[in-house]
Amino acid sequence: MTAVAVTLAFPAPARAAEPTGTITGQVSTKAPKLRAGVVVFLDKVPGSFRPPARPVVMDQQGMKFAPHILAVQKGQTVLFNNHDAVRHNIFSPDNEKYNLGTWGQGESKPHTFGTVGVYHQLCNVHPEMGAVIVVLENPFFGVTGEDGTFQIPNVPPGKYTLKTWSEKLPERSETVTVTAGAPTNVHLELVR
Amino acid sequence: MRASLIGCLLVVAVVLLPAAPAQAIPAFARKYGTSCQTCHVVYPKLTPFGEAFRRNGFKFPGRDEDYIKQEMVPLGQDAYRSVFPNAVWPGVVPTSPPLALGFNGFVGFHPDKSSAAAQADNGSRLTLGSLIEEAHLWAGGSFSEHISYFGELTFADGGAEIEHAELHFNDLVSAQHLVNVYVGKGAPTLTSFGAHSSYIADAIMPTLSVTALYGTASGSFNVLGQYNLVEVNGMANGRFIYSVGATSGENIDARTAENVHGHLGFKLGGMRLDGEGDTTGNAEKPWAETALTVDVFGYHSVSRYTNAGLMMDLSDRANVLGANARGTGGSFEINAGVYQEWHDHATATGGAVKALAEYEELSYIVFPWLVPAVRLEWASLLPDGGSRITDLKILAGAAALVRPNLKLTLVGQVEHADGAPEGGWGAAGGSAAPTAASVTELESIQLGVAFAF
Repeated sequence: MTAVAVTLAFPAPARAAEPTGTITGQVSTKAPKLRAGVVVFLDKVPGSFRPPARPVVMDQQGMKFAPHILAVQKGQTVLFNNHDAVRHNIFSPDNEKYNLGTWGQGESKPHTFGTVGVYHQLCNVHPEMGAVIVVLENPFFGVTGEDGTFQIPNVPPGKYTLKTWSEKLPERSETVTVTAGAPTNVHLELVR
Repeated sequence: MRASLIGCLLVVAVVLLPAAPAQAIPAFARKYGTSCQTCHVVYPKLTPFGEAFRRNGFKFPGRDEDYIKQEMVPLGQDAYRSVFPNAVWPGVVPTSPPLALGFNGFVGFHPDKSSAAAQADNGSRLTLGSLIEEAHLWAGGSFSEHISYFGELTFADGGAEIEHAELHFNDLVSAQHLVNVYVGKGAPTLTSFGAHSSYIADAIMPTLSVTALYGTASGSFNVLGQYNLVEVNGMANGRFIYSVGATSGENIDARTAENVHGHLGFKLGGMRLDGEGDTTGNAEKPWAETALTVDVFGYHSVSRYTNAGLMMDLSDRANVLGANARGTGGSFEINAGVYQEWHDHATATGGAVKALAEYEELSYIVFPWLVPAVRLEWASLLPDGGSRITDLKILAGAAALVRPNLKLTLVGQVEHADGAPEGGWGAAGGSAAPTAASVTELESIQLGVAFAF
């Protein structure tokens, strides 16, 4: 079972006083098990967006990363917790190529992501463990749940390019128009 | 002669013949969470999709991992590939052992107590001694996206034998299915179809162990033999298939490996050989298609054996050329093939011999669980300076599934032999032992049973 966060960030409105809309949708795939854990995000949204001050958590528990897929905003901090009685390590061979070291139960280590990209999370003590952190430019993203649904709230009205990132499937891109006060429904079919 | 024998058999037509050893792999059913019927008609006979799965190195068309339902334990995350060589290349193992068990045998009935087959059974009319004759332990799965495995241990009264211990390194170039490497122990790829693609016989191609026909008690080379081998194979455009490889061959002592083989084939119509593209086919009849597949093969062997007549060890060089074809029209299917072997030191006097094997099998899928079939097998030996001797077998019967993994077969066998080699026709699957010039006999009716889980 792949653990994913349905929506991992609830971004504050870019301009708090302005009305916003919500993008809701469904990702479908030929293999049902691939619907979960797809990151759906808005690409190249004009403006600058301050990352959330509160860190998001990625656990190592029961010899697994939880969640398996995590999306965060550039500049956001991820707190890696170890809940297991065994020691775990965190490293990523991608982009910033960090190794946070190895630590024991109850300890945590933070890492702030300064570069947009896909970061595979590995534990060199337990090669079977793995997770992915997708670092995005803006706060407008969601991650699909087991049923393939997602939600991106607080989106300023406008026309955007909606993109997907999947661990197994190629990117999909689509244009969406968001109107204030109304949900925008999208269906995305991902194929190889 | 053949026509009259066919007519004779149709009169006999209690139709159903002996059960082939089970070859289905329930380990794959568990891995993909799918029924035997995804790949088999009446097992071990494969559907076009099942054949594609086998040809692909026991992988589904497209992206195999999409179809795996069994929980897998990663032996390293895929991201470790980017860390290599500072980490072990990742792989997977299933959460339960990828094993399956199967049993098979038959109840034998000899309508004619004087037939050679009945005499071999001490004149018995009905025998239960082979009701469960073999046990099989199979393993099947994949180590990673590109490496799969298949194993089979067969247990019988004679002991245990490794029939298959195969490693398949798949998709070694960017063009999918074009270049694969197959190493381990198994049968070389000489046709586009699985070795056990028969409803009423053990193998689609008849066996012809020539030195055994002339009486050797040591191992005897035959084109269906399972040997240690290295083979490169693949498919192009889903319509052309090839293989080329080397096998250890059959030797009584350590010898330089000189056995080489090669195969070319193509398929017109129906599902692609690799199963890619539209695999919808006939939703109600997944076996049905309109297609023609033609294969040719060559095999060169040098084997060291003990010649029974001369009581000394000899080297026998054999060159083999053969062809197979399958035509499918809806639920009808006909398979036919022939191969000729040229041996230089195979007879009981160490002489040269030309051996020919030919077969035809016609089947019709009445229901997904019931398939009647008729099959002819013809073997011929023409020793240098001698006369031709032949053996014709006609098998008629049906295979039926009681459950997807429980099979019954009922098969009758009529045999006509003109002469017999020193070792009898047993090494060609026959029983007849004519004391006069020729003999025609109803050898047996066998009720076969096979189950796997």
